[in-house]
Amino acid sequence: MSRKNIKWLYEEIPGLISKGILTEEDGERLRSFYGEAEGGNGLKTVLTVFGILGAILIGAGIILILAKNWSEMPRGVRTVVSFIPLLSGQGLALYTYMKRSESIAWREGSASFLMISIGTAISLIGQTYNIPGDFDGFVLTWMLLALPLVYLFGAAIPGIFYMVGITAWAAAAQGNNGNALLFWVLLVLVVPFIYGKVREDIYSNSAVFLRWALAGVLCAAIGISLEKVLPGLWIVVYSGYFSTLYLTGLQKHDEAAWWQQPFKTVGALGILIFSFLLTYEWPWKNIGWNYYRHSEGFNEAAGYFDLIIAAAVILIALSMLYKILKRKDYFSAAYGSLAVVSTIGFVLAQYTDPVAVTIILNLYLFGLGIYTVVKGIGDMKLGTTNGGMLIIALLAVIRFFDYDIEYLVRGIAFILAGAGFLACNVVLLRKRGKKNEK
Amino acid sequence: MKNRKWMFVLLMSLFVIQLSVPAYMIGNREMTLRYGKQFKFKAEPIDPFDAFRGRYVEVNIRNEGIDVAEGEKYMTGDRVFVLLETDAQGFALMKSISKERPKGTDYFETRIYYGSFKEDGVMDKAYVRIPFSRYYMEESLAPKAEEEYNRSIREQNKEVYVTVRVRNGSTVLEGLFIEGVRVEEYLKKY
Repeated sequence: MSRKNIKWLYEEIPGLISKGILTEEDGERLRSFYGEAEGGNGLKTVLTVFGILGAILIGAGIILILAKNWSEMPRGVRTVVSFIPLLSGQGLALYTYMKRSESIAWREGSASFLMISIGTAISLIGQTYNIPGDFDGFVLTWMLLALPLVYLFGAAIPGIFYMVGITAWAAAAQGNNGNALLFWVLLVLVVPFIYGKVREDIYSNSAVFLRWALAGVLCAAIGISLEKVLPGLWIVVYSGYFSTLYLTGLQKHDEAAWWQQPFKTVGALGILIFSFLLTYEWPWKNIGWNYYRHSEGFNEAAGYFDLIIAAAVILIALSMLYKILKRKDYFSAAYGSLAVVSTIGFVLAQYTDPVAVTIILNLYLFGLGIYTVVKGIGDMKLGTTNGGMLIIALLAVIRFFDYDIEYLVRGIAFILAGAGFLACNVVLLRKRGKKNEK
Repeated sequence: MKNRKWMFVLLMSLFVIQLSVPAYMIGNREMTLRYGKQFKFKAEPIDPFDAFRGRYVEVNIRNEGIDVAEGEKYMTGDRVFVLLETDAQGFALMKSISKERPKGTDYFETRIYYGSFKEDGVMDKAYVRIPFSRYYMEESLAPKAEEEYNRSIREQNKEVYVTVRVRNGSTVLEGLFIEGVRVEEYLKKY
């Protein structure tokens, strides 16, 4: 049961007792069964956060002190010193495992500290023996040695470190004349952990932070690992990714705050920002099969993998859209359909003028803006209404200063849009008039 | 409780693996330093605009390209073994490259960084990534050493070289020398 529900239950208990449905004892039993409603009281959360921060800062401090390569220290001593942070990290972790395994603060803190100390040990040895900066090898070794800590301690912060670390690895490996396909395997290794935390309690801090990290890391990793042999495929992949993310985030409990729903928030923002980008002409120029890159230095296999990713995100987005439409949630479907719109655009761009595609995207975004305004009015949510207005206003400003389009065309388009709004107003007023008459 | 016992075993195994990786790194380098053959590599000036300076000197080993033997084909990024010899002046010479691990000679393992190509697209000269390009020093000493390193090569045309120990394909950069004097001593003297 989520904390929100527990809180609700606790508010109900006194009423139920006074009405004689539950006895005082039953109430107490319920309370002890479900535990704290607020996920621990404020002090407990503060202790956890401070504990983790403290461990991380001390770990970082040790790195800095040891990195100050004491030239006076003989090599043998330096070698032994390299192990001190690692051994103390392991000692701390062992203590946590034996005595403090119930405490989130101890588990997160000591696992984070141990993770940092692994990196410290490897880099200190690198300094002692003048091993050059083989950054990708270093990060990969570090992350693989640390990953089991995530599972053994059920620790989210090391999990987030891991995700950031493998993304840094992917960036280095891709830039280093290679490809970053291994990233996806490395990512899959941490997915069961995230899934477990979400299953446990989707609104717990661990689950929320892990999902924020996952959404962000995926966003970066897609850009890094695409081999870019098929120009313009990134449009399909990113649209598909943001749509999938948004639609996945929608699935459960809509009453949570925006920051508790990382997938929905990142997805919605991604859809809007990406749509704005796609209303320009440049992304649609010179793309598609006719511009396939065959030259050396592009990895053929990785190129196929790009296609697989594109197909996967689009298919997932489509199946999600189908579900949402069956639920008659047309508003969410409108946002989630960016994947469909830009895939159509990608195909069209191969046969027609890119300008035709930009018109479709402009209309899509404009429609999204209007739908958001209408939805906001319908739900009596001022924030949503204003958000929709902002979309329309931003689109208007961007197009007003878009010098690729002729003045006359811009002028006519603006007049038509303005007339449309006025017409809407007239319709709305008449409707209200009729209502009032009734 | 049985579950906990297994977890404990897993945790201990993890700790052992975590310790053995750095231990292996050390062991491998120590063996190379102790039993490896010493080579002297001539150094060249470095790019002064390197972003990551401070704690180490970026050493540029003279790298004039290795001739590729007739009939052998290489691509950029290929993993290769570089065979080493010593020239008449006592400096190391990167003699040739091979795809198979050489026997009986000293070598190191690396990747082809870039190459020059003949008209038919076959690589005739390979430039390899040098796996010993950093010399770590104390924070306050490294920038001074780098300055001295550059001045010695550029302005005074002094001989700068590094000594590298080579054993079974692994290398360890041992020391940085200006005019035959260890850079640490050199900075104290001048």
